[in-house]
Amino acid sequence: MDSTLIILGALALSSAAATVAGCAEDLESDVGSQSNPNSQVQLAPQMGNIHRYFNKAISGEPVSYGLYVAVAGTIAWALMNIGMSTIFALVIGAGVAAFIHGVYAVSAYLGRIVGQSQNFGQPVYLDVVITHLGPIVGHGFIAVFCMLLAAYLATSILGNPFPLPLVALIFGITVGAIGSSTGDVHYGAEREYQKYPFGGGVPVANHGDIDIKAEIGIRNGMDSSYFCSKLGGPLTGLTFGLIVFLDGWRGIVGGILGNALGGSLISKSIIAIIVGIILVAVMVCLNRLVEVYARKKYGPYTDR
Amino acid sequence: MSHGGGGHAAELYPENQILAIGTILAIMGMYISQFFPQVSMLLGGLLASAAIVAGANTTRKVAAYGLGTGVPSIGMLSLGMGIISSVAGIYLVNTVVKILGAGSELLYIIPIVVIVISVVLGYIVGRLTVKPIGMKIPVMVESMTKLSLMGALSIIGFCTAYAGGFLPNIIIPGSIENGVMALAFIAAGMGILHPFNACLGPNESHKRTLTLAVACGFLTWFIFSVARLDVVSSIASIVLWAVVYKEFIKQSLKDACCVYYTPEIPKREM
Repeated sequence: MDSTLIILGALALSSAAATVAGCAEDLESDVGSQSNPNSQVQLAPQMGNIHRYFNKAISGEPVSYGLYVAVAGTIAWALMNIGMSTIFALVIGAGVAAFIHGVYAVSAYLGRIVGQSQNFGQPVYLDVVITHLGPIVGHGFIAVFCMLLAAYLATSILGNPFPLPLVALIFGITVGAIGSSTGDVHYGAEREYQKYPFGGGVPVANHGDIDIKAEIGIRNGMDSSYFCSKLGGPLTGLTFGLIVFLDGWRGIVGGILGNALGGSLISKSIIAIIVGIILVAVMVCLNRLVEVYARKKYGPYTDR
Repeated sequence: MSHGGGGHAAELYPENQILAIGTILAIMGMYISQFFPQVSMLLGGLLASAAIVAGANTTRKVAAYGLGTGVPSIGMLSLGMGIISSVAGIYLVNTVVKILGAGSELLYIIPIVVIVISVVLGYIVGRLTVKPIGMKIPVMVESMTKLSLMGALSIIGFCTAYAGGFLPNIIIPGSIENGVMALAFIAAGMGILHPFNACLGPNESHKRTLTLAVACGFLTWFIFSVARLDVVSSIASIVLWAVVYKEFIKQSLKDACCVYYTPEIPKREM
């Protein structure tokens, strides 16, 4: 088969995997109140809000996802080296990573809650640990497996020169970083501070004064996840999928046009860079249009 | 006491004692891995987790100065210095032996060279955080030096255990070129930063943090055992980890003000 076709297929598959990974990663961090929401959950008992959120203070999302995908990648790489089939190796690697994830999640919850339990009267809710652990580990498994698949495609078909464990680490850090930056916008403060008006941000004086009552009963991390699975998670996934897709596509266009122009590496790279600049310019224009539209339609903003 | 850390609670063991034990055990582990490669993962991995425990203890000491969100950064910085020192030490000695034509016995001092480089690097980074950056933490220079040392020891410890020796012809293809060092970076980093990052707060206790540090050390050892497909050390590490982790959970539930199994919010005077 034509090698360009195979590369295009691999690129489409890894972009799809990245989309699913980004979505699962965001929902996982919503269940566990990771990243920014975590600090607010941590502060809540000191503000008198005894809560039932899961407080997953493992580390920032980039670092923890770097760990999971690197663990999965190294184990899958070792299993493939002894001749195991690729899919099995990827699944087993992601499975071990899910176990590590669960272990760190439980110790993070217990450690942070108990660390301020005596002074502020925040109880340890074991039912929260048990009910939240499944969605956390499950979403984490999906995210890690999809990222690992993308990393494997990058090393085996898309011509990434680095070994799989290293590429897995970088991909893990990337998915965590995108989930942290895009996902937080859609969840972060907004879901935890619904008693404050939308759009104004959260003043420092209100930090930790989170909502602990939900539509039905006492709010917990699962409610955030239901809320975010409509827009926040899919948008995070779309962002990450687009990043992987457009970046790979840039190289492929460079390759195809460069081959037509004589095929030297320099001309391919220059075309890829130009395509990249065009993409960034288009994105900037689109972002500006969306921002202006949103300000006009929703914002209580005044013209300055 | 500070809002983020709130540490400086009573210390169970002095920091330097834990540091010394961690250093000696990790060095022993490297030489055992070198001379007895058949048990490199079993003993080398076990002893390398001592460096993680000591590193986590030093993280607790320095991060208790209110570096609430800075704990992961401290851990990553520690391992960043560690990975530079490890790679520099290995390649430096290798190059010296090749160029000067010195005896290959010189290669056996690689762990010592790595330690020296990491201490020097940690001291320089510590001075930089104090002078141009202006962090006013009294133990900063000292802690950076110790963290760099522990980062280097845990990285080269696990890489040596994985490859089965620290000689350049073993560790360069066995741990560096195949990317396993990336795993050593992030897994050992998480072991060093996680215990205090998880346990911080006004009711943090040294005993609980240290128990979690030991559990994280064993968990890192387990990760490397599985990655090396070493069945015996996988089982040994997971059993030891389970024992320590159970102890951590028991301590946490004991130290909590109350433990609920139902969705019940305590009534509080507002």
